[in-house]
Amino acid sequence: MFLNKNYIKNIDIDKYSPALFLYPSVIAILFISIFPLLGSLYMAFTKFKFIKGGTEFKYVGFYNFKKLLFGSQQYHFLGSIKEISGIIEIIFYLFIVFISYLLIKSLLNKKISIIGKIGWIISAIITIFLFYLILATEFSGGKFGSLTTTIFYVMFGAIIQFFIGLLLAIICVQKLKGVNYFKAIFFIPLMITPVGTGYLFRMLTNTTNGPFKPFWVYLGYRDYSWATDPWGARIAVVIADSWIWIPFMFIILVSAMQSQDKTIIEAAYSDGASNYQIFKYITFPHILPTCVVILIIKIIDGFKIIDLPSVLTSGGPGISSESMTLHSFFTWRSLDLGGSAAISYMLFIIVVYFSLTLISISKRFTKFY
Amino acid sequence: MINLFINSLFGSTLKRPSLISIIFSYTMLIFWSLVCLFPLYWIIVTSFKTLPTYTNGPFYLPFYDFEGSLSAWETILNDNETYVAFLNSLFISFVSSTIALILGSMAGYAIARITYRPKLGSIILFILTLFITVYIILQFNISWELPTICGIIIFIILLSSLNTRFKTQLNNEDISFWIISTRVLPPVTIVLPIYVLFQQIGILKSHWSLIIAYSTGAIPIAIWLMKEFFVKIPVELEESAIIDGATRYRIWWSIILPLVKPGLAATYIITLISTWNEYLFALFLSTSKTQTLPMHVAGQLTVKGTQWWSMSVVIIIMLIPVLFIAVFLQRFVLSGLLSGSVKG
Repeated sequence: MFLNKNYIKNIDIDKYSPALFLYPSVIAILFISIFPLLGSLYMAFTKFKFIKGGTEFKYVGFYNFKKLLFGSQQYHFLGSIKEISGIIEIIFYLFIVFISYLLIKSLLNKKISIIGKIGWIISAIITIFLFYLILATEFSGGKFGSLTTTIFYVMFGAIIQFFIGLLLAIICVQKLKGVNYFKAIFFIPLMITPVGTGYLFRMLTNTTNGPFKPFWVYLGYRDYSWATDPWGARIAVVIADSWIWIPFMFIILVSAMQSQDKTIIEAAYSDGASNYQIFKYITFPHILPTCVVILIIKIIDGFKIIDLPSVLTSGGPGISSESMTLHSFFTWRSLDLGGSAAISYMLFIIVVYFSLTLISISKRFTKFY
Repeated sequence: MINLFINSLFGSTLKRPSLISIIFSYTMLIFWSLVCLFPLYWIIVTSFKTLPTYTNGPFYLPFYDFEGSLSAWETILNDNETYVAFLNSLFISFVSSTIALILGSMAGYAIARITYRPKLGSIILFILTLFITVYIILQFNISWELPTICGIIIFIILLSSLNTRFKTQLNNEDISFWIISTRVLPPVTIVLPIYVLFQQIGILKSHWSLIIAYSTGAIPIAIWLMKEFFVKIPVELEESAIIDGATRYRIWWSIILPLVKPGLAATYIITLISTWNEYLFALFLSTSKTQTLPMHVAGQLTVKGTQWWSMSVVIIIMLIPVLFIAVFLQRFVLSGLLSGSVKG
């Protein structure tokens, strides 16, 4: 289908059109995203102070980052780390073996360049570190920090939202009566402002005068409150987040599924293929690039989650449902501008790692068609 | 049996589905509609409540098991701030998502079809010039206009003389990755420098501060989505257009854009909704004059405690226009993406 792609790319029809098409966006992004980012980088290496007659940014080197990774804020950022032991340790070593196997496989691959191989090594190290962090905090008697909580929100949320969105999309592309009305209904959660959704779910999860009170009483959770249980608070945030994001997944997946060529499916039917085979061999390969794109978008956007935890739980109880952006915002509010910028830079590094790794992995799938 | 179940789960898009499939599908559809609609229903019910009817346990049916009151609606609709916030939100979100759609579809098309070979050396040169300019401005504490102009001129002179020497090239993949990588910036990080920037230019108190911030925030996602839609269009269409003597602008406007109408609609809906609902930038950049509706929602957290009923009214008011747009544009999203273009 794309055999002649390079042919059209190399025709120089207009001298100025390449610049005119791309540069407005590039300039806008430079001024509103990149330059402010450099401004914050400067802030991350300073300490903000009020002095006589104004304010001052004093250069302090890597102090802000050291504090987060090794110093007094470690429990808040990474979580309180305990020694891993027993079955958890075995899982960790198995994970190392698995990652090393994948790494060696990609190192032996001659198609990958030197820079790519270095990238895979770095990616493997960060993956093992993050996995260790998750095991060594909540699963070994410690507590999640804002980094691990955010990773939980993003990964858990993305998986749930993608599969429910896919299931609904599969149902909605069938020839059913009245399916368009249902589609219209499924859009609704996307249209409510996230702040509003936060307050809405605070009303819904209220166990004293919310709508599910009889249900809670029936289950014997009369005095139970989501906001005082760490996992309850986290799951409440994931549920509210899913409620917003599933329609997004759904809308994109439906339009991707409907864009496929019907003649191929007709041909497959006349060859006696079953519905499942058609999905597996025709529809899924067709929508796979879209799936990868929406998952990457979700994961990138998920790391910025702030309105839901701040409205639903205010990061509580303690720090257990605090996302990294919220952590950065709280630090910013206590006028530690340097520390806030340092957290957002750590967030930046983590998201770059996640998106680079996912894009590199997804390239392997997309070459098949 | 399992085979039957799996086959009925992945229903056909052409034939009429089997009975099991129909039952399963409608159960799921109705269940999910309830999940989507119940919170909405709860907002509507809450908007008829007052302090005593809200706190004394859950009541489900207004005017039946509790005495409904229109006082929240009266308060909000008689409030001048609501109208100001509504008009602000309308203006800001329409203008910014239109800008994002135009720029995003242009750049998305460019990345999908035009070959770019920016040289790594010239980018490094740009960054170096930038750093030196900023350093000079900060060090000598002078106003920004003159050093910026000088910096641009010096950059252009150096670039034109050194351009042929640079060898390492980047490609379209790198550009599109760079664009999507700006999506990862946490808004908290960049909003403070943006605040200072807008203050310097003097647009902080106008609507344009939010419009610029929103449209730039939406451009990367618009480019990324539009690129996916553009790539799927067969190149043969453009080839024949080139043979007929069409320019790039003509191809983009008369051939490609009509084919991606569903994609445009989908992108527009997404950017429109995200800008309409945006909260964090509004928190920093809006003043009482340019207050948007999400700010008005949060504004119901008064000293008297949270006014849940007024808050529900504002959320309903926010929801109505978006609902209208989504229903109106839905056929673009749902009509098949490439229907007719390859065959016809």
